Formats: sequence, C-alpha cells, structure tokens
Amino acid sequence: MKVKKYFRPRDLNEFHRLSAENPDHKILAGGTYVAKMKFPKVDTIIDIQDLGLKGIKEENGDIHIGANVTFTDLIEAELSYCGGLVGQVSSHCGPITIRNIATIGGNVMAGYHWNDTTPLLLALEATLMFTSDSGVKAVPVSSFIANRSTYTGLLLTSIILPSKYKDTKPFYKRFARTRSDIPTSIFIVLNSEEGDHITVGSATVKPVRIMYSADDEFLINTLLPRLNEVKFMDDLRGKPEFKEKIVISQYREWKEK
Amino acid sequence: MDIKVTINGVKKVFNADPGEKLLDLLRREGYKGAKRGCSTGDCGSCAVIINGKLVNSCLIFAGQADGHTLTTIEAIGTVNEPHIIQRTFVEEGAVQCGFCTPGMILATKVLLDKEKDPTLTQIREALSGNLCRCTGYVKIENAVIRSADKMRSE
Repeated sequence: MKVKKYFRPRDLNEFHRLSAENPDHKILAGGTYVAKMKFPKVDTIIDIQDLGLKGIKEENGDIHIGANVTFTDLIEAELSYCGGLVGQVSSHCGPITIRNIATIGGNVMAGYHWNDTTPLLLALEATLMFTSDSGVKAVPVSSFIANRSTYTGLLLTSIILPSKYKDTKPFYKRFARTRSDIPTSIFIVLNSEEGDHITVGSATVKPVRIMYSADDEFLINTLLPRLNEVKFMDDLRGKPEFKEKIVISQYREWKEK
Repeated sequence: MDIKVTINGVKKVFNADPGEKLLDLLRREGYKGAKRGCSTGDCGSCAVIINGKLVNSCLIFAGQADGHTLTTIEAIGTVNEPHIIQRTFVEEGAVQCGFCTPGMILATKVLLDKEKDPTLTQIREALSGNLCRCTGYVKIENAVIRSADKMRSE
C-alpha cells in the first residue's frame, strides 16, 4: 500500500485541520478494511484512535457508543439493552482477532451491504452523531443508509441507541456459512409501541426496515415485494433467488415462534 | 515515522514507512515468529498481542501500534526453556508444519491468562482467528486443555 502520510491527531481540532489540509485522506478506525485494500487511492491516513471516541454509557435509558468502540468492547460490556442484542450481533463480527480491533464506527462507515451492524442499528432506530469543522450533526441511520455519500468525509463520533428498545426481546436470525463468516441474511424483529418491525440486512443491496401488519399474506404481499424493490444482492454468498429463500425461511421461523 | 512501543517488556523505537504494516516492521526488526500467511486477517499466523488482546499484525499499520505494549512469540519461551503451553503443544502432537503455531500459542496464552479452566467452547472461541491446515484442531484443543491443567497445578 502506497501511503505517503500517516497522522494520529490528538483532538478533533487537529483532526479537522489535517482533514482540510489533506483532502485525499482515509480515516482509519480499527483498520481491518483499510489494510485489506489492494489498490487504495489514498495519499494520507488519519488514524482516529487518540480522539477519545471510546466508551459506552447509558443516559436516560439511551445507550451511547463511541465510534471507536471495538466489537470485543461491545461483547465485554454485556449490555442488557434489547435482550443483549448488541453483544450478540458483535460476537458474529469476525473471529476474535478481528473483533479485538474492528470498531462499530468503522463497520458502519465501510458501507458494505453485508455489514452486521447496519441492519442492527436500523432495527434499533439508532442515531449517528457526525462532526465536521462546521459542527455536530445527528443523523438517523435510515437517512444515512438512504444517502450514504452525503456523509463521506464527516467523522462519525458516536452512535445513540434509543431507550424505547431497552426492554424489548428481539428476534434475531443470522444465516452464514460459519459463526463468524460474513452473513448471507440477517433478520431482526423488534416490538415497540407501534407494533412489530422487521429488518432484513445483508441479503439485499441495502438493509430494509418494514412495519409488520397482521396480514396472512404479509410475506407475499408486502415483505417480498419491498425486498425485491430494494433488490436482493447477487454476490459470492449466493444468487438473489437463494437469498429470497433464506429470508422466507427466517420469516417463517419468526412466525412459528 | 518513529514507532515507540514496549515490545516483550523492552521499550524500543522503530522507524516505519507510513503505509507499512506492523507485521512487516516486526519481521524486519527480527521478530520473525509472526508469520506472513494470508495477509488478509483470515489465518492468524501473524498474530501478536497488543495491550493484552490478540490481533492480526498483517491488518494493522505500524503507526497504529505506536505507544502500545506488544508481545510476540519470542517473549513466551525459548528453545531451551519453552513455556508450558509450547511444551504441551509438542507433547500433544499439536504441531506439524508449525506455521500456525506461534499464533496458536499466543491465542492460548491470552485465553489462559484470563480463564484458568476454559470450556471447549471458550477454547474454540479463543482460537477462532487461527487456522491450521495440518492437525485438524483436535490435538490443538487437547493441548490447550492440558496446558490449562498443568498451569493450574503449578
């Protein structure tokens, strides 16, 4: 990898200054994606490990997670929030050697359709906190997913999980070849005052969150048309038809429960 | 750029290129126990311990290690005085070609420093980032269990 400059700013002011001075930069969190890039078009790396974006805390029932919190941190935190769903999802984010360094912020910002965290955060209606030299911006995950390119170059500092799902018992299914392999399909159902919401990730081009209605034909009339509208992904893990079958199976498993 | 680390208990300053991976730096500086396997973080042959956590040195830029505490296989034992884990791996036949062994030993060390009597699930979890193409894992798992037994009785 040809990198000309490597910086580790000590605070946000220094980060913003370096970002402005080096427009062709890549932000490095854990680095597990960046280091794997074969032919990176990157002149400068800005390592954000010293910016204090660590820590997990609860405030009025909301959970605040620093963008540089690793998956191991999330597992070891043993959060009871939403039936321990955050730790459960984190435990699948690669083998232990990856989870020890890969961060939740890095995973979100890497933007791969198969990320474990994006559907999780969409299901939880999380808010992403970004900072730039013009200030702080709170962005719902749904908006981030819809317009990802808008947030390129901004620094994700933390993620807020709302208190409304604090005591929810989740339904979570993940289909992958092995426990820590990249998922073929993620299926999450969360209940709130408005009803049940289904979130499907990895199988589709973008994660999808949809409200369940107690309709016998919900799968055929609502869920599958919506997923097909977003498009099932055609990749190494399977053809769209295969992924649709996995989602149908996950849906039926939820219904049987 | 200067990389200041405490490596195997010794404070050192290394010089690294901005895009250089920690694995390349370590091997260049003589810590050749970390092996280059896949270079994509899948095999764990390059594993080292940073601040008590097992990580793939092939996925980390040297700059990321600046200011941290590193442990490589060179600190675990020597040919004449192997660590209990190393001795047990040999006794159990958990070493064949040996390429994955430094990573396996370090993964075991991290596990046993934390869990004195690990379950098989915990052992498999601890070794989840390390691949072995020779032994089929059963002997490695047995070696971890026996290492734990020996370390508890010491």
